[in-house]
Amino acid sequence: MTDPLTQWALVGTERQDHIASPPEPLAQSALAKLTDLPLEQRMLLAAGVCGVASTAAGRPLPKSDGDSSPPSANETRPACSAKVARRLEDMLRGHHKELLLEALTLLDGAGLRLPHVLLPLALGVRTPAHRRAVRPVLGERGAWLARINPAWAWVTAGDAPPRDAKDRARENGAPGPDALARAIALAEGVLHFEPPVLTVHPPLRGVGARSFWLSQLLSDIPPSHWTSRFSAGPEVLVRAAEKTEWAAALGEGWTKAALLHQDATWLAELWDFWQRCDEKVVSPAVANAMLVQILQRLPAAEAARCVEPLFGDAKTHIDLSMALCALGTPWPESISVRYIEALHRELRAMSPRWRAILTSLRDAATALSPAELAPALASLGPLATDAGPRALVEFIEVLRIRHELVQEIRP
Amino acid sequence: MASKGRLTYRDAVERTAQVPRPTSQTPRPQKRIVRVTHGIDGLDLWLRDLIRQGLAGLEQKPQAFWEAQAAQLVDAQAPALASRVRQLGHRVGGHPDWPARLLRELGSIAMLTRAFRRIDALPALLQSDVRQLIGWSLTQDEVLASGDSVQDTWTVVGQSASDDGRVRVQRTWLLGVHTERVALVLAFAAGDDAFSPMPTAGTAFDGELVYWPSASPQRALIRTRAHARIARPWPERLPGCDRIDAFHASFTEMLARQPWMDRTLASLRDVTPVHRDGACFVRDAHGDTLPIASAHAWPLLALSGGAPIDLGAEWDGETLTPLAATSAGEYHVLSATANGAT
Repeated sequence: MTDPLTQWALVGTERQDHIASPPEPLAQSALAKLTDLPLEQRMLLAAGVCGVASTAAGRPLPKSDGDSSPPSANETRPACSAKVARRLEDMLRGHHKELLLEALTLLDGAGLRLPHVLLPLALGVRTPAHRRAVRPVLGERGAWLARINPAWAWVTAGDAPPRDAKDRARENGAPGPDALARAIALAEGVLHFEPPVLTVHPPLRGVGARSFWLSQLLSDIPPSHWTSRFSAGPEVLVRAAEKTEWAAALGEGWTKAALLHQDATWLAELWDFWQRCDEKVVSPAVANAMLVQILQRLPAAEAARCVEPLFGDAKTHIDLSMALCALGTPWPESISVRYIEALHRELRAMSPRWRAILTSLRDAATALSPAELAPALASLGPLATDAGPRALVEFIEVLRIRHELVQEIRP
Repeated sequence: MASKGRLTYRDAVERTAQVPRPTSQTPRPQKRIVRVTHGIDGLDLWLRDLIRQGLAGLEQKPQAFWEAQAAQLVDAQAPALASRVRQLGHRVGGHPDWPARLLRELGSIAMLTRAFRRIDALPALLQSDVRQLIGWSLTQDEVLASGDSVQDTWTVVGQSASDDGRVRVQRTWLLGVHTERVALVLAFAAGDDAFSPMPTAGTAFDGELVYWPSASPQRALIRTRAHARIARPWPERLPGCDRIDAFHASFTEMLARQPWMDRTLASLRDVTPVHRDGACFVRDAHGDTLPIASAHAWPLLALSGGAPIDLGAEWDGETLTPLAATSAGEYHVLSATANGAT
C-alpha cells in the first residue's frame, strides 16, 4: 500500500495542495519544519529523511523461530577435486558443454559427487540425458535442495512407470496387429505382381507406384516374417532381391522394417546390400541415408566392423564423416586408432579426403576412446599450431580437457 | 504553467541564467563552485517541477528526459550527481513499489543539494562526502596525504560489480582481521576494457590501506601490500557480527554519520539461510532475519544445507547479496564477478 507522502507526490502539488491523510510522524515533522522552503522541496526533504530512516531500520522480516525443513543429511560420497569442479562449472555455464555428459558419467563411475556450490547450476540442466547423468552425482545436498525448490522436483519425481512392448512399438511408429495383418496381405499381393489394391498416386517423383507402395508396405512388416515365410535367412533373401527389378524398393522397405523392429541380423545384411548396390539402380543419396540409419542401430561392435574399412580405399556409398557421427560415443578403440592414423596420413597428404576428416574433427574430439586420448595428444599435439587448421587446434584442446578429466576423476 | 504564483522550471532556468557566470579571470576552484552552484540551482528547480506535476506522468517519459538533466549537470561539472540523475530513469516502472523508491531517491538528491548549499555549516569530513557525492574527485596523492591510514591483515571477502551503461564499477570488499575495519576498493572500466588487477577474493594480505576522507570512511586504496600471500583461501573465521541486530545497529550509526551511504559489507557469523514461501533470508541464533537477494539465494542454500554458516555479503539497506561464505571450515567465494588477477 502506497504511503500518504508518495500518494501526494504521484498526484502532484499542482492538482492537490494538501496531503490527503496524515503521513508517518517523521515525514510530518519534516514537512512542518523548514517552512521557509517551497512546499515541493519540503516534500522532497521529508521523503529523503524517511528514506534514510527506512534504510537504517531495514525491512525486518518477522522473527523466525525455526525452519520446518530439516537440514540436509550427511553426504555419503566425497566431492570431486577443485580442478574438476572448475571444469564442470565451465561446462554447466555452456563452455564445452558437449563434454558435460561424459564428465558427469565419469564422476558417477568414480563414486564422486558435485561440490555443493555447483548444485544450483547442475539442477538447472534441461535435457533428459543431462538430468539422468546429473541425478546420481547430486548427493544428499542436491536432494535436499530439490525438496525445497519446486522447479527441481524432477530430481525426486522418479522415472515414468515402465511401459509394455505394445506402447513402445506404438511410440516407435510400428503398426498394431490388425494393421500389420493387412499390410502383410497387401505386400504379398504386390510381391506376386497382383494389381495393387490401392490406387493412390505416390507422392515421390521418379519412383514408380508399385515400388513406392512395396517399400511402404514392407517397412511395416517385421523382417522375421519373410525369414519364416520363405524359410531362408536374410543373406539369401537380400541376394535374391538384388537380382530383381524391385531391388531398390525391397532394400528400402526391408531396411525401414529392420530399423523399426531393431533386427540386427537383417541390418548387418542390408549394410552390405547398400554398400554393394549399383548407382544405376539406387541413388547415392538414398544409399547414404540408409547406411547412416543402419549404423545408428547396429550394435557397437558390428558398427565398428562396418566402419573400419571406410578408412581405406574401399568403394563406399556412405560419407565418412556421417558414418563416424552415426557411431555411438565413445568410439571403440579400433575405430579411434584408425581415425588417428588416418588423421596423420591426411595431414601429410592433404588429399581430398582431408576435408572429410576435417569436418569430422568436432565429433571425433568428443567420441575418441578415452584409452586413445594420451597417444593422440602425444602424436598430434605438436601439430596443432596457430599456423595449422583452427579445427585441429580446437580438436586438441577438447582432447586435453577430456584427458585431464579422465586423469582427475578417480575414486 | 505556473500555479499559485510559483516559479516553473522554465522560468527558473531563465532566472538562473541571469546570475553572473564565471569569467576567465575567476580562479579555477572558485569557477567550478560557481558552475556547480548553477547546476544545482537548475537541478533543484527541476526536482520541484517533478513534484509539482506529479510522479504519475513519469512512466511516459523517455530516457532522454533524464539524460537531458544529467547532461546539464555534466556541463556544470557535477558528474557524480549527473550519474545519479541518469539512473532515476531506470527506477521508473518495473517494480510495483517504484513511486515510493523513486521519491526516496529524489529526496536523497534533494538532501544532497541542500547539504551543498549549507556546506560550510557541516563537519569537515561530511563536507568531504558531499563534495565527492557531487563530483569532486580526489587524486590518489590527495587521498594519501589526507586519508586515515590503517595497517592490518586484510581478507578479500568478495567482489561485486555494476554497470550504468557508460562505466562499469567493480567493488572489492576487504575486512581487517584485527581492526575489523571494512574497506571498499573501487575499480572502473569503460566498455569492454578489463578492470585493473585486484587482490583475489578469498585471499588475505598484510598491508596498509588509506581511506578517503569521510564521516563514515569506507572507500580506500591499497598503499602497501606484502607480496607473499598469507593463505588461499583464508583459513580462519572472519570477524563479524554474531547477531543481526548488532550489524543493523552499526549500519544505522554509519547512516547517522553519512546519510547517503548506499551499501556496506555485512559480515555475519553463524547465520542459517532459510527458504520459505518463495522468499530467502538468513536467520541468526536469536531468530532475527535479513532477506537475501533472490538471484543469489540458491548457491548460499546449497552451501549451507540448512546449517549455520559465516556469511560475507553486500548490504544495500534492503537485501543481502552474498559474496562469500564459510561452511564446514571452508571458505567459498560466491560472487560471480570474482576474478583471478594477481
